Amino acid sequence: MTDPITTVRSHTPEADPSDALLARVRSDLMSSITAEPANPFSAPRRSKRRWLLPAAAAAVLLTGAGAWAVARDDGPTNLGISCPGNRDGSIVGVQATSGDPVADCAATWVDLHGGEAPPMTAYVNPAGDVAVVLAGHQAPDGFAAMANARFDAKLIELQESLADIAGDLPHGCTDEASARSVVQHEFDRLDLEGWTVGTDPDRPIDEARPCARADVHGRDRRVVLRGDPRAKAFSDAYQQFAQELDRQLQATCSTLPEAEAVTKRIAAATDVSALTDVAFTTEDGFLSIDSVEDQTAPCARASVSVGGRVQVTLRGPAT
Amino acid sequence: MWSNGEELTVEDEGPNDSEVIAASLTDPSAFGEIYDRHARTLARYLIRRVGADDAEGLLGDVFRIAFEARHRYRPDRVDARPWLYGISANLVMRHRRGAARRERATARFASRPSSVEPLEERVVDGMSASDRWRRVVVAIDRLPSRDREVLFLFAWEQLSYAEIAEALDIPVGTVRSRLNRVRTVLRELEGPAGEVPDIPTLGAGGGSPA
Repeated sequence: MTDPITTVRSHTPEADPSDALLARVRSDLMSSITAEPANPFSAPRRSKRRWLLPAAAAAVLLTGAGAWAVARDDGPTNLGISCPGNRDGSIVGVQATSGDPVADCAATWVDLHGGEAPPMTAYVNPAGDVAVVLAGHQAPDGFAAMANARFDAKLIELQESLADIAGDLPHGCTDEASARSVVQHEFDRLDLEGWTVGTDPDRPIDEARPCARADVHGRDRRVVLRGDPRAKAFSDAYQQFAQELDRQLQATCSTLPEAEAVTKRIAAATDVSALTDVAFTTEDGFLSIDSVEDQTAPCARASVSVGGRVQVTLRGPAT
Repeated sequence: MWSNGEELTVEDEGPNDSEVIAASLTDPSAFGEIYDRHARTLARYLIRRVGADDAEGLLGDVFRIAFEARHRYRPDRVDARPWLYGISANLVMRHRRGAARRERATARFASRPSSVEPLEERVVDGMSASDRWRRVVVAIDRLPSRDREVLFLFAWEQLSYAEIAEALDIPVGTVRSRLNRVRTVLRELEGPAGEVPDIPTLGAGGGSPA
C-alpha cells in the first residue's frame, strides 16, 4: 500500500524564486533592520526585551560600554540593564521597568529559572551603564557600586508609552507631524520640562522612509524621530489587544490587581494564535505582566510591547 | 563555550547560524548572512503555500520577525532553518485565515464568490484533476491547520520529525501523531487497492515569481 504522504511528497509543486525577488526582499530587510539601534543597551524603545549573550561577549560589552550613555545627577539615563543570565557569567540585557535595577534583574532571573533569585548587586560605570551581577561576583571593569541609585521613573514611563503598541508609533506608519504631536503630549503628561523632539538627519522621515519611529535619548533629554521604510508586520491582533486594554482601564479606573485580571481576560479573548500557535496566557510564558506600584497614580495604566512575547507593564495604585 | 556550557562545533567554512545570530545582536547587518543562507529555501516553501504573488511579502515578514526575535534564539541550535520554517508556518496560517476573512467580506459585499482561495484549491481548479486527486487535495485543505502544516513540512519540505518539532515547538511524538492522523484521513479516500491513481502534478499552480 502506498503511503499517502509519499504520494503528496511526489507531487511537491515546483517553486523557484527569482534572483530579483530575493534581492528585493533582502534590500528591504536590510534597510529596515540596520535602522534598528545596533547596541542592545542603547535600544530604549524596546521595552522589556531580552538579549542573552555568552560570557565572552558579555565581557566585551561591559568593558566597551563607555560610549553608550552618560549618567545624570538624577540617575542613569541608559535604560538598558545588564543582568546575570546564569551562574557562568552570561548576561541578559533587559529594559528598566521598576526603577530598581536589582529588582528588575531578580524578576528576570525568576522568569528564566523559576524559584527565588539569588542576591545581586548593582554597579554603574562613569558612562551611566548599569550592570547587575550575582552577589560575591567581581564587578565588571570600570564599574563601581551603585548604592541606592534608581532610574528616573518618568524616563522609564516615557520610553514605555512611546513603545506602547496601542499607538501607531512603534509599528504603524505615522507621519512626522503626528509623531511630534504624540511625543509632545507625552512630555506634557509626564511633566518633562526641558525635553525636545527632533529628527535624525541620517534617517529623515520622507518618501522613502515615511513611517516615524521614536528613540528616547535620556542623556540629551531628547526624543529623536527617524524614518522607517514601512509599517511593521503582524501587529493587528496585538494592537487590538493593547487598545482594548487601554479602553477598559480608562473606563474602570482600576487598581493594579484589577488591571492584572483585566489584562489576562482580554489576552485570553484575543486571537494572536496565528503567530504564536500557543494560547495567549501568562502560564505559557507568552504573556508577561510587570506590575509597578505607583500610589501617586489615581488609576492603573498599561503599556504593551511585543518582542518574542507580549510584555504588559502596568503602573498604578495597589489598592 | 556558550552560556549553557555546551561546546559547539565550529565548521571550518565559517560561523554556524547560531554564531551569526549571536553576532547580529550587536551588529544587525550580520543578520543578512542568515537571509543569504536560507531565503531561497523559505521562498520556495512560501510560494508553494500561498502562491508567488503573496510569497514576496511574507518572505520579508519572516526575516523581519526572525530579526526581532533573534535574542530568543537558542544558541545550541546551529541550524536556523527549522526556526525559520516555524515562523513561516505561523505566517502561512495567518495568511490563510486572513484570506478567508477577506473572502467572506468580499462575498458579502459583492454577493459573489471571491477569487481568494487557498493554493491547493487553485491548483486543482487550474488543471484537469482526477476526481480522486481532487478529493485528496480538498481533504488536505480541510485538515486542521496544525495537521496540514506538519504534512507540508514533512512531505514538501522534507523536514525530519525532529526539525518539524523544533519548527512548530511541539514534541516529536506530536509530530508523529499528527502525521498518523493525516494518513488515516487520506487513506479513507483511497480505493480498495490502497492506491491513489492518475494523480496530476500538484505544482502547476505554484508558479514562479515575476
